Amino acid sequence: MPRNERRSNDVSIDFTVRDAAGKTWTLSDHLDSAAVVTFHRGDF
Amino acid sequence: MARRHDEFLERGGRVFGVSADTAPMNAAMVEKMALPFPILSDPDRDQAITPLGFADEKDPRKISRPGTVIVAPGGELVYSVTGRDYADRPDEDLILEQLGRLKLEPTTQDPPEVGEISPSENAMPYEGLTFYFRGAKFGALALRGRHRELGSEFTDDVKRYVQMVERYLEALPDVEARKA
Repeated sequence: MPRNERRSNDVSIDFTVRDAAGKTWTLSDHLDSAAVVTFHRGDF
Repeated sequence: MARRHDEFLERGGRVFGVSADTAPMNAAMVEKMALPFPILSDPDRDQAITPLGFADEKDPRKISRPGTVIVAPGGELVYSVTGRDYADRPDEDLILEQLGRLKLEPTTQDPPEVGEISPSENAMPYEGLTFYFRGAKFGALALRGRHRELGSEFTDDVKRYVQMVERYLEALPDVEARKA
């Protein structure tokens, strides 16, 4: 297993942020499929 | 991930990016790279970036470390991988393998909406990316040549970094195709 990798089978998560149109976006509204949430360095 | 977006959808996963940039900065990124998925804004890093362990506390820019989580339908966090620093990006093959283990039906994803566009003052123009990636590659190769005495852990790390940069270079024609 690579470094900094983990599997978790008993943790539920949700969060609310803004999309690129400035609208409120909540993860749980998009979980009829799986979500692959990828974190970016930013300041691009 | 944009290049392989269809592979994620085929395995039942929609892709969502998160950064600490503002919504207008993320809108600029979506437009610049013609991304097929949204980039979400967590400017105070208190909604997703820090709670999920991606805040880069060593970097004064208050950025996120690269990484990926897979959340199963219903909200269960099933997988997480975190880069060591801003240049250590997760392996997409590994993410696809983990997603495939969920054995989900294929899904679809609407194109991202964008509003006001205002790039970061540090943003690299699209036209400069080829030179930027080539410079990163040649710099890394030069340092590998200077410091071979550091052994295979160092040279293997440089090799992985160069391979990542080469993937980015290979992806640029796809960006142009998505823009066309």
